[in-house]
Amino acid sequence: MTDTTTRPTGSETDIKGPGYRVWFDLPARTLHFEGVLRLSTSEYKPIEDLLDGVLQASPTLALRMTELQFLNSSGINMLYKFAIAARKKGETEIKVHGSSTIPWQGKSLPNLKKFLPAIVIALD
Amino acid sequence: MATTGSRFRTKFVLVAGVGLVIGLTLAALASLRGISSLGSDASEEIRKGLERASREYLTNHLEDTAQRVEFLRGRAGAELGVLAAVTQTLIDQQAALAPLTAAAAAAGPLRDALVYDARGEWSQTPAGEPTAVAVWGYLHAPAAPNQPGLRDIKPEVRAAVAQTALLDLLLPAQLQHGAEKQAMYFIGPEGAEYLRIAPYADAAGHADQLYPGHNNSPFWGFYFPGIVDGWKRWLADPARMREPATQLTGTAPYTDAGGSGAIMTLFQPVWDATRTRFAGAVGVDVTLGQLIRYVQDLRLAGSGFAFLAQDNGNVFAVRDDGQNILGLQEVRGASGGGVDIFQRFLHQSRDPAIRALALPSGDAVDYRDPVAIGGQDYVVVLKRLAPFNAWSGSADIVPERWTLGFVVPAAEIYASLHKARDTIAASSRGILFNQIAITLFALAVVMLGIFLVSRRMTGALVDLAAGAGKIAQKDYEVRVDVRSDDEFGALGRAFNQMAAEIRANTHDLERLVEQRTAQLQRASREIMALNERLAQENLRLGAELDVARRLQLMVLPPERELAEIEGLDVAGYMRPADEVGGDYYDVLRAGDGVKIGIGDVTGHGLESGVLMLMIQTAVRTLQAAEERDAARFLNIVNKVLYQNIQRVGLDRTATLVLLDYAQGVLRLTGQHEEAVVVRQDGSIERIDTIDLGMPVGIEVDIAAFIARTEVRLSPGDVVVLYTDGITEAEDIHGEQYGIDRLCEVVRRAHERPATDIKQAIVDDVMRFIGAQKVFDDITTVVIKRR
Repeated sequence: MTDTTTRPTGSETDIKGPGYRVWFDLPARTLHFEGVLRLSTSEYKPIEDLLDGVLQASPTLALRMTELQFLNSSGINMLYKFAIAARKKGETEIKVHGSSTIPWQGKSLPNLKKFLPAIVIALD
Repeated sequence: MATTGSRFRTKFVLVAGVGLVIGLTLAALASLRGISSLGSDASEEIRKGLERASREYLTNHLEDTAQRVEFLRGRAGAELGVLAAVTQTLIDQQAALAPLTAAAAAAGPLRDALVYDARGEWSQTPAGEPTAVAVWGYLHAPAAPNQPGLRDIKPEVRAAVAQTALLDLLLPAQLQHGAEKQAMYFIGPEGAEYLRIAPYADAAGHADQLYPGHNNSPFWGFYFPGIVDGWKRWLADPARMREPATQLTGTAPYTDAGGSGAIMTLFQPVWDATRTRFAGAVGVDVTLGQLIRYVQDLRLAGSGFAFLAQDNGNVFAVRDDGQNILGLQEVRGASGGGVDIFQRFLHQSRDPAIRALALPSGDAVDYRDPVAIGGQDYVVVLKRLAPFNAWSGSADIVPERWTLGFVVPAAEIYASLHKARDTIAASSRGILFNQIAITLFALAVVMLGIFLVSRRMTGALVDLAAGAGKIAQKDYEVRVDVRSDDEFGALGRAFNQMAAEIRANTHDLERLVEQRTAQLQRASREIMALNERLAQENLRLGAELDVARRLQLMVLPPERELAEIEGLDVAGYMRPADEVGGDYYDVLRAGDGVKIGIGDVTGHGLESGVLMLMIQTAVRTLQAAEERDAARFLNIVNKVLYQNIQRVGLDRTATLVLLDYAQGVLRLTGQHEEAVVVRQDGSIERIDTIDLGMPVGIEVDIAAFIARTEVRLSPGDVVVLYTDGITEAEDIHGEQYGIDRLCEVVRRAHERPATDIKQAIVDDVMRFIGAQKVFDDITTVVIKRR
């Protein structure tokens, strides 16, 4: 296992790896997902922690996916679990910005609504 | 290295040169623009001035000429007025002057020795008398039978002749002096129309030759029909009767029968003492030669000319070339009673512009500018002369006004303007050439300066470049010789300093490299040991993946089972990725129907493969338990998975769609990728499954989200199921295969058996992926209704 390309770098609120970046814009309370995410389930742990931490800090949060060209099924699974966690927490105000021109988003983002009816999904 | 310097120098010279050319060009353009606008302003001013001046000149000239013409005409009229006044006095003072007239009639030189001419049957004074007196045949008494060939003049006619004997003194004198006159004469009133005319001529003889029949016709009616009636109408007009000058009457110009050229006759009637009866008229034949010559001789600009026309447009004075330009055609043979009238009418011109030229109706000078005559522009200036009484042929006496016209080619009037414009254009061209010459000269001077300065600058650069090149070849001993005081000098000093430092560092570096090499060798040994351990770990992981792959492929339906299915032609394909992705499909016979499932577990590796096994088992178990409710079926599968995931602590979920086929109807439950339906005719339908369920194994109860849709299949219809390993397969450029390519390959192959369609899909996807890594399991199930 000498392949280290998917190993993330950067701080806890700015996770970078080859071809992707996930970072939190604190003033705007917006979590940005950019590039192509093709990590294994365990490799999503830092992002999962970031999502969790941000959610615990404040119930108001925006996820910007418009620059995320691809998210594999493990990543989608992570988003589903995040939605369920948010529902369990209650009183959240989460908005997801996506793009209908990116195939995976049209297919998977609507599911978030099933796990978290209060979520707002804006596709442009 | 020298090329570096020259390249820089070329650029430097180019930039400076282009800037200079642009600047000079702009300056030249600006000055040219100024010159051009100055030129056009000047020509406009010149044009206005010229037009004003030429109009002023033409107006003045025309008015002068008009005065001159009126003067020529008026002088004869004035002289006739004198004759009329004397004659009128002779009539008015008839009684008082009786002794004088009687004496005159008897006096030698004034006596009229009338002799009857038997051949002509008229009486006339013999040659040698101051005036010729002609008494026409009809003024004689009838012939006496005893004196054949001799007739006596009627006594009242003889008395009337005697009464004007004194005019023998006046007529020759007046004829010789003043205006150019052909003849002056007196003609008596009706019943006594004798003629007294100076100079002496065989008047009756000429008349016999020219006007046959005159001798027995009353004179006025024969020669000037209507003229006496016209005069008599003035008797009712006291104002005119008080002012004899207003009674002056002119004929239209005509050609003299006696061969004296163009003439016109002016008459002035005289009246009896009570001003109630017509008492004859004095007349003068005015030679128009002088007037016509004057008009013809007028030279206007180069080839301009003047003309004189009557009210009716008859042009009676014009030069031959003018007549030609005006396109006038002479109408011969027209006769105005006894005299021959000129006939050259403007309105009968060959030229349409002249035909349409209306004579002015006011007194002012009238400009027609431009008038296109025969393709050339002319300026036509017209002025009406003072009115006079005119008798023309048989018509009544009417006021007549002659029109004097000037016709000048516009080009000649504006000749100086054109010349001025040419001069301005020529001088603009001169300035342009000067400007270009100055620009080129300035360019040459500045370029030479830049060239010389740049040589010094680039020389330093070339040295520096050469020094840098030596350092690149590891010659750290190099130094440059740049000693100027400017920035180039500073650069040279800095370069030498840096070269010295590099040289010092290079020696240190060699020592450093030795130390580092030793460290690296130690690290390398550690890495080798680590690598050995990793290789063992990899072996373990590889074994694990191999197990997962085998598990996943093991539970797939064998072809034998698929071939036994009635009503459907089914083919399945699965190619696990290097790290297996947990794809699932199954085809199960169930009573008279078929149950088909396809799904995709998230993540990769052994855990995903195990979850796929769980799905396969759960579906198979429920199918064996004959669970018929598709929603419950899926919800139970979900619950089983959820609970197992919780127990085992897997971090996985899955998409799963279950299809039930029976009697041509395919029912779909659960959320997965779209199902592609290709109808027998090649048309494509895509069935979205997003709203038919949700991911399984993530929530304990998903019953609320489960729905069902159905598709009717006709024989030949094809349904293609697949996992995202196909649509998200990437080529070497990172582009995804996508559903459109899938639809297209299925559409092309849909008429073939399911196995062939499946193979076409697999081939197309693998060709698309090419050298790229296979990221995920590739799974497809092709169902075709038989």
